[in-house]
Amino acid sequence: MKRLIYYTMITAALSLFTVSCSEDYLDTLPTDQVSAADAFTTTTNAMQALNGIHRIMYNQWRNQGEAGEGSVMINRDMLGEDLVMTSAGNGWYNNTYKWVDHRNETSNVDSYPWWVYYRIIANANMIINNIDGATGPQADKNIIKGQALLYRAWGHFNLVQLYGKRYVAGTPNDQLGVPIMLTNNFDGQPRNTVEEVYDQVETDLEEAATLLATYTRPNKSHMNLSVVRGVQARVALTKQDWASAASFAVQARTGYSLMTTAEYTGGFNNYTNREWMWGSTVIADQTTYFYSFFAYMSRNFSSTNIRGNPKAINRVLWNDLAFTPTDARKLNFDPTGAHTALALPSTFSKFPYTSQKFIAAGGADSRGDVVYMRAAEMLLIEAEANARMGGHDTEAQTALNTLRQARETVPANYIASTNTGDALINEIMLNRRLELWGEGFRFTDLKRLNLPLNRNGANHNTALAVIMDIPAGDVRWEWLIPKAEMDANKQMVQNPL
Amino acid sequence: MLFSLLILTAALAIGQTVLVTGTVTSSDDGLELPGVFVTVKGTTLGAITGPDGKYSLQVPAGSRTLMFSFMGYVTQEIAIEGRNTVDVVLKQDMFNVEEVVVVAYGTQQKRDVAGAISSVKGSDIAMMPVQSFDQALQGKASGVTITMPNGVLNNPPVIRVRGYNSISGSSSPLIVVDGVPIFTGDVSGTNAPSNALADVNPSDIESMEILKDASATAIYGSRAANGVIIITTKKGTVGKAKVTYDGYFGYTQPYRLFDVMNAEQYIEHKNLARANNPASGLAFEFFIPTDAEGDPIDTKWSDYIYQTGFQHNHALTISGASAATSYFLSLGYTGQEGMIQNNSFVRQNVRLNIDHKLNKYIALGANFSYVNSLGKAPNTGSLAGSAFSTAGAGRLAFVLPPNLGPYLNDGSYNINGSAIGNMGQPVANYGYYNPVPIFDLNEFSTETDRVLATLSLTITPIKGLALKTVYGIDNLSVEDNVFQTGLTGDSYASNGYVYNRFARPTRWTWTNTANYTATIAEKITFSLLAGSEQQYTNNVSWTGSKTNYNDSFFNDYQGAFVTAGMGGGGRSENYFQSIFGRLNFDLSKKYYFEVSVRRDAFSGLAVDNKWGNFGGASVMWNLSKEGFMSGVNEFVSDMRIKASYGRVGNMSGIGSYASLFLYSSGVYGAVPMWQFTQAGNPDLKWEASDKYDIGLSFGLLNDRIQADINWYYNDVNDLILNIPQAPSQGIPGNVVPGNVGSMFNTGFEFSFTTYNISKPNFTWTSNFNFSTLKNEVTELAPGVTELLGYTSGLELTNRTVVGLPIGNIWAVQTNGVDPTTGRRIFVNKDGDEVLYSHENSNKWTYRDDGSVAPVISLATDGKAAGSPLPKFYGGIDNSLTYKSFDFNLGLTYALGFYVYNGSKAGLRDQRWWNNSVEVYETAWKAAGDITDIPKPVFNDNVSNGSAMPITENVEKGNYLKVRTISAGYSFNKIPGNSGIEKIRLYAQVFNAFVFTNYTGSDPEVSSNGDTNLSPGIDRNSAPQARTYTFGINLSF
Repeated sequence: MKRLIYYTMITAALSLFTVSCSEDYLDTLPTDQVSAADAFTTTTNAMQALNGIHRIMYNQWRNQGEAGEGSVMINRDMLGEDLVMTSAGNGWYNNTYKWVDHRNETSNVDSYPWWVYYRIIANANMIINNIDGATGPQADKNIIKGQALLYRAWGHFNLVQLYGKRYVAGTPNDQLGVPIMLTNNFDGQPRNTVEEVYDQVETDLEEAATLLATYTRPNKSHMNLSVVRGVQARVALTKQDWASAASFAVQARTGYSLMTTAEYTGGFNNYTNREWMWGSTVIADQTTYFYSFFAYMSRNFSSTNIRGNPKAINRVLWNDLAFTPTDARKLNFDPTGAHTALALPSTFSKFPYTSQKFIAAGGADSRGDVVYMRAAEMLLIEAEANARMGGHDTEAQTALNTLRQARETVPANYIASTNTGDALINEIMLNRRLELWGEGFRFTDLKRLNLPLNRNGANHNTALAVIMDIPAGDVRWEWLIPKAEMDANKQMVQNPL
Repeated sequence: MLFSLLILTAALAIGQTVLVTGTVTSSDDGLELPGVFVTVKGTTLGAITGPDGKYSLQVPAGSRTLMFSFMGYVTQEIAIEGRNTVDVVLKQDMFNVEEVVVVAYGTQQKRDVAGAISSVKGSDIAMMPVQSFDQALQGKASGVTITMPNGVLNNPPVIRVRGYNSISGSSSPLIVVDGVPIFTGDVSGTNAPSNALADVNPSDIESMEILKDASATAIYGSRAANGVIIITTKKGTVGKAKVTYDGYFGYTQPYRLFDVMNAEQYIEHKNLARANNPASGLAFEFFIPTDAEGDPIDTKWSDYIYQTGFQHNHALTISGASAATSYFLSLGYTGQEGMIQNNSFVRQNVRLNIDHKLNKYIALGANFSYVNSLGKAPNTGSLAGSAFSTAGAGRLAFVLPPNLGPYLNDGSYNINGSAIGNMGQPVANYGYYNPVPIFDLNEFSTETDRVLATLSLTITPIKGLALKTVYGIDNLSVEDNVFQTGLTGDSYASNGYVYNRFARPTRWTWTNTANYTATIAEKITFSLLAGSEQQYTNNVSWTGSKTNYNDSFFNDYQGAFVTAGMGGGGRSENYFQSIFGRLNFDLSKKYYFEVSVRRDAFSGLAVDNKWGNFGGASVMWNLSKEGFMSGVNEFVSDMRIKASYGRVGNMSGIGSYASLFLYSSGVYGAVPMWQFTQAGNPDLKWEASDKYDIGLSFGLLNDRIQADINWYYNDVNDLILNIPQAPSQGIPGNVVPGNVGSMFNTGFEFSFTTYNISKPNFTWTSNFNFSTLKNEVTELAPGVTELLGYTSGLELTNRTVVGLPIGNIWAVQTNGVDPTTGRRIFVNKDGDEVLYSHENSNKWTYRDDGSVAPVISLATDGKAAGSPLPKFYGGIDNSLTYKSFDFNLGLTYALGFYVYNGSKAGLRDQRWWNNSVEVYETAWKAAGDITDIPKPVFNDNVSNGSAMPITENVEKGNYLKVRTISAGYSFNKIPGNSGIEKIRLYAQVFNAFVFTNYTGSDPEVSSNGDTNLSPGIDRNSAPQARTYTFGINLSF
């Protein structure tokens, strides 16, 4: 019997061990990936998650036409009148240019911004909602959370401008915007009103401004207070809140100087540029193949797209008498299309007025830093806001002339603008179009100002463009809600077809 | 609970006794039988007969019955009736009614099993020229389909137990070897497949049990839904040391190769097609060049790809047992060349199984096996994902033109960059590779090392109670080596390529069980099992690749290459923990009841869903013991009705970290970054199956005829499918896996064993099984109307939709060829007939009025074209012995299913591709021709189904296959002192014939391997192999 008890005890001990030692084992975690719980245990880890969003800004997603923010920038200019397609090339962006894709709920072009901005927002929400529990200096938490909030605001702002109706100052703005996403969950949300979206954007931006107030960033791919102010200026400008726009723009550009002529004509590919406020950098061992912004917008990268379909500028804009022949901005385009200084191989098709504003790292290397915000835009916002405000033409002239003077390569040719009223506004807008060509502003500028699209009289090939006019306020100014969203989100409402 | 049982038994053992003695003899020859177990029924008291067949036993007063049992003899119960001497004559168990089967965590008398279990003896498969035991199981068990995908060595077969039980996960059964679940599937990353099950040498296997219904499998809980195959390896048996040697050698060849055009036929046909297409783009006609001897080139490409492969196999075993110790030692060597050149398989293994009784209470056991296997294969184009490879040997054998040769006349390879050279033909670049240089120069190999071992300790503190602990390891190492030449082929552009992968999946399993068996009042026998199990699995792998050799002398990773690729690999681990229990109960061997439960936890699931409960129950009624059956007992020797229900799970679809929100690492600029890459589903749980089974088993004419008939219904639910998410949620991939799908499998199974003749000098035994299957998908994820099944990621061939069986073949309907115009007749979605003319600018025209019709596409006009799941299948086995001769004929069959014959689309394709002779002979030539093959128009890839699957190429797959034929002769009485007890010589043909109307190579095919969503596809695969073997069995 003693033996019996002995064996039974062994068995009992074994069974107990079996049960007790294993509870921890059931919580296995990956070692080549990071669980969300681990990602926010410390601020060091959370910083990596923030870096992940910085990387989204130039990642390739589903195809080579979907590279972070750069591809959305291209699409926004493709819908305008200033960027001119010279041929069908290998097809990329043709149907955006024709105003087809963003009105086709199953097209990748239509779904891509929805997809990428909401992905950025989801990544930002993971940070915003978890960072407070991380261990680490409060200052680091502020830096991480501030930038995440800025991303969330910027993402919603971009979305509402594309998929929502135009913001009309002085009205309730209860027209449909986009869903505001503040948490990570599995439930599709209904569309908020345009006003609600802008309210949330402003709230996030204000909190970001507080958190980033004293942040000194390691480089311009991270976002500091000046970027917050810059986005605030854009938001205010879109809301036709001219006073705020001017004020934020001034704050935003404080501390930045304008490019020299050499820098302006140097290829727009280096984020250490004095004038750049925010941009992505792509380092040498991260090739970007054919999805890079520069694989479509540069003059020198030897992609089928660029060889066959180099991008040109609207010749009416380029030839406008508002610009002197020695304006640095005009030098980035060649009316002959020869670009002799670039020594392009013969396989590169030549068309008049093509751009060499963007230059890739090499003919076989599509890398280049992508600019998202620079001081010149802030000067232009300041000028436009003051001019539209009424009674501030002087301030507007000063801002405009600061920029114009900096861009004049022959000082003797510079004459300060003395325009006022509509003439001044017109001059500012012309400067804005030339200055920011190819940087992704034209569609939203037309939309926020309730202007029509008018491609007539320029070098647009009607066979390629198809669409030459779109009236202001047309339903086509709203991108369609992607079909995948309509299918999966019962609460989603489609824009007018 | 445990203690109360112990006390109960102890109490039974106390009391007054009477001495009973006697002799046990055999009915066969009247000789005394030593080693017979004699027990007092209803107790644990017993004795064993000595060498003279005598026993003596103290029997408690009041005991009524003695039981005599001996392996190979029918157990007898004899009433004592107050006698002191009880002599018994035991009858040989001619019809195996006493067979013991292995069940989960134990063994049972076959007839006492209420669950649906098919049992296959190791000896039935040991001599088959296969690489792994699963390949040999086809047709051996009802309810089980085994599909050999093709004749590539060691390609894992597709195993389905009672249909398909998952969509996104695996439908393959759990494999348990000596109590330990082992790794399964293809562990190779190269063109040389490596079936993890080939690491169990078939000749080491004692028995294989296939557990099918919930009653039998429920104790495996969350891994039981696909059925369970239990493998038990051999042990030594009492007696002097026994030495056996089994060896065979043989030849393997492809069979049913395609009959393709020779050079003359080719140029005649292709030039006709060229003439029929003014826009062919061919500047001049095809012609036949001459070789170095000045003879016209006429290349039969299959001669450069297939071969007659030699193989040999050796197994040496030494086994034996004393009262305390049994041992089984085996050494094995298998060397096989495949029917495809450069395809080979070599396996070396050792196994030692040893059991030792330390004393009355403690027994130790150890099973140890080490296996090394090395597989080599060229790119056969026959593995999942490779059907369209331009290097795929299966396709190159029939696609390449016969008017091109492998060599130029100067003796160098005929190549043009990566592709075969055109030898002046009007096609500038053929695109496909010359198989000769890539066979000569490329190397793909996978070598595995594996230790499968268990260590067990059994404590029997009192009779009837066994406390057992088993620790098992499965340590596998896999090394893949790939070299591709830069001279031509796949790595021409990268100027050579080497790839290495090393993977180390390891697993330990620790099982503790307590099993108590007792008989109460001679009527109630019960067995109670309780246990716990833990399993830890770890997967680590790394990969490296290099390209651009600067010295073509080297062909391994360590050689001189200019460009090094990024290293890769993966790691994951998971943990599995369970508690389980089972109660078996019978009353007077008449009424049986069994219930089992299991609670499993898996680390991959979220905190609140880690644990899941599974279980099953069965009842069985033995009618033959009832009084009302006594009148027919002469005819009906045994009859049982069974029923079972259970709910079991499938965890194969759940990743190690499926419930987690995950970040993946990368770099941003020069700094590290993490990106949100997986939104896990914390609500995710196991896929589940509710299994119902009703069975009838009976024995007729003294069990000369034994039958099992089952009906089953398997309601598979909570299937894990990706649920589309609103992109505004920002979820990576915009999908989250959830338990949303459902389907069912139902069918009947009939299994008969008949002992037609059982004379000492002449026996004839037949096994016949027949199964039916109906599968239907009943629910997919919300918002998802179909799941697409692609062949090699390229050709959409199958669609899974609600209301039809999984993986339906999808094709555009065609109605033959229009005799007037010679055009293929397509049928559009509205039922209109549309003709296709490749050379015209309006390619699609209505047949009735010739007007332009919308373009036919699979997306718009495709329809369900047949289910690839056989409705009926099974096997027929006949074994005869006559004096010293033995014969065996094994047939398998499958009926009522469709195969998409994609290879036929290629064989009729009107690009430069070579065609079947059928095309040469029967293609439409003039108005009025009635044929299936349209007017040849050069470059036409639509009319014959290359551009999209057409019903012309969807064929019925019905087949009857002669799987094995063997004949042997045994020398039983060897004169002299050689020590040899028995010599058997035999000859066998494996895959001897197939009877089918299917026009492809073989309807038993799966170009997509072990897939749920795209089964039944025959696309460019190598055929099956036929193997002739000659062997010897020796025992000393």
